[in-house]
Amino acid sequence: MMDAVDKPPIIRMFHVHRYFGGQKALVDVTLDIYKNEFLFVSGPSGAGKSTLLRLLYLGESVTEGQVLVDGMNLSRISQKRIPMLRRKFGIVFQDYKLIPTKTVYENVALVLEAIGKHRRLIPKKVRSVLRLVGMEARAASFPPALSGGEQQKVAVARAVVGDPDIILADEPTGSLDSDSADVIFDLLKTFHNRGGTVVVATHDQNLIRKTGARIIRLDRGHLQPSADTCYDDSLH
Amino acid sequence: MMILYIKRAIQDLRNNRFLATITVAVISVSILIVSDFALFLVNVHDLMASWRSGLRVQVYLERELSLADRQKVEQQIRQAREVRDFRFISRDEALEIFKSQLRGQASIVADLKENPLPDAFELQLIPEYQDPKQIEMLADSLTAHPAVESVEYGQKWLGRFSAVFDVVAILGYAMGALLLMAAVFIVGNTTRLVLYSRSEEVTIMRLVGATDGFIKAPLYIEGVIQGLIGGGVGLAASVLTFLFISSGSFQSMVAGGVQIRFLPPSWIAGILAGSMAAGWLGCHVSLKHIFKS
Repeated sequence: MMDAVDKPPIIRMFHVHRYFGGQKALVDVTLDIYKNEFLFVSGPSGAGKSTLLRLLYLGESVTEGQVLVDGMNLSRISQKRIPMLRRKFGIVFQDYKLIPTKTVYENVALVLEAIGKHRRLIPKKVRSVLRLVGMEARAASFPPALSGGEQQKVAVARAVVGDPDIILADEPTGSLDSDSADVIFDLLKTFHNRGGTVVVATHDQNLIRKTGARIIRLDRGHLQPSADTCYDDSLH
Repeated sequence: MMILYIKRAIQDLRNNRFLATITVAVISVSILIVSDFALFLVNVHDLMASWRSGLRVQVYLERELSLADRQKVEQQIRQAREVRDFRFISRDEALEIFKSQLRGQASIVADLKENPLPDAFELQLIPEYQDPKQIEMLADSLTAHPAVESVEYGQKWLGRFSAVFDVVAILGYAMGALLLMAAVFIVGNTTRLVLYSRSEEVTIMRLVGATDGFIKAPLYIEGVIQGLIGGGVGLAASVLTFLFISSGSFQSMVAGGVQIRFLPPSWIAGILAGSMAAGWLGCHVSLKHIFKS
């Protein structure tokens, strides 16, 4: 077995601090995330998990420290290059963030349109991804007509359709029943098995125990030194 | 990519029908007022040009003038750049013309013991020099000649009318500019409302890697489409105005024999371009403000 840590890091964080006014969301976080790694970011609510993910795609910027994504130093990235950075990521949000006035198909196709994919190639790609997540039959539906699990499947489809290098999932199963959570997790594993890097922020201990992937723990913004890291063959 | 932007722009306009309709209506009214005013200016200009084309300048000479003095005046007229053509009208010829004009009332001149009319030159001017100020300058220079008794160019009121016309034209341009600014403001406001109503969508688009250009392009196209439709509707309404004023009785009442015409194609193109530019500009100002903040 070759551990993911044998591969070069795709994300590097050096002494990262993030403050909101006087509130410390992240304190001196130094972390490497490797190519094709499946990583859980764990910790209680308010520990800084979501903040950590947002720093990676510049949803927020660091107060101090450096973040490198695939060799790009985010402190020095120009405003114009931010869309290029974000195209390296597929992001899955707990609240799905689907556009309610667009159909399932249009929500997923939007990513390909935004990255300038030729419009003739878009329908085939979107259909295949919707088939992968089992939502092809609901392509013409609008998000408000879908269940939470279905919406999260669409969100995963949107995250993977642009063939990103990394999936960031922020509490992807937080509001789902266990069956739906399993389906979403299987989809993330499929992406990982195809060579992608997956970073999941969750406090769902069952999910973590079930997989055995590397875990980092955050507590009140501090990275815990005794991170219980264990590996599951299926995830490396 | 452009096809995609146009499709998205049309879809957005459909989704925001009410706002789009209000915007188009305001632009239409603005363009109607501007184009009706332009219609007025074009036709009054034509009318003045027709009056000016019949303009003759009469240079009356002193009595008992020697041939040499008359030739000096003739020389000055010949050298004047404003003059296209001229002819000498002797006092006898002038009397004959006068008599022919008073045909039927010949008794008025029959009792004259001597011819009261002076020798004169009748000048026709080059059209470019038919401006009242230039005619006045020519008249002053000729009057200064000792052999010239006076210079008449009739229709002096034309100068006053022309001055009023110029003021009205300037007011018209100012009003046009104000109305176009109103259109810019309205389109800008619509764009802002559309963006506010879609702020979540814009956020999501940014998160999936859309560039600002990708987000803005359809909005610019919407602004231009609204400008084009508003301009088209405004001009169509202006055609109705034209059909009304060019109808028989009104035509004879207002135009004094000049055929009323609609705006020339270059003016129509200019008004449509201005309307689309207003749509684009309104969108641009709004987007610049919103994306900056």
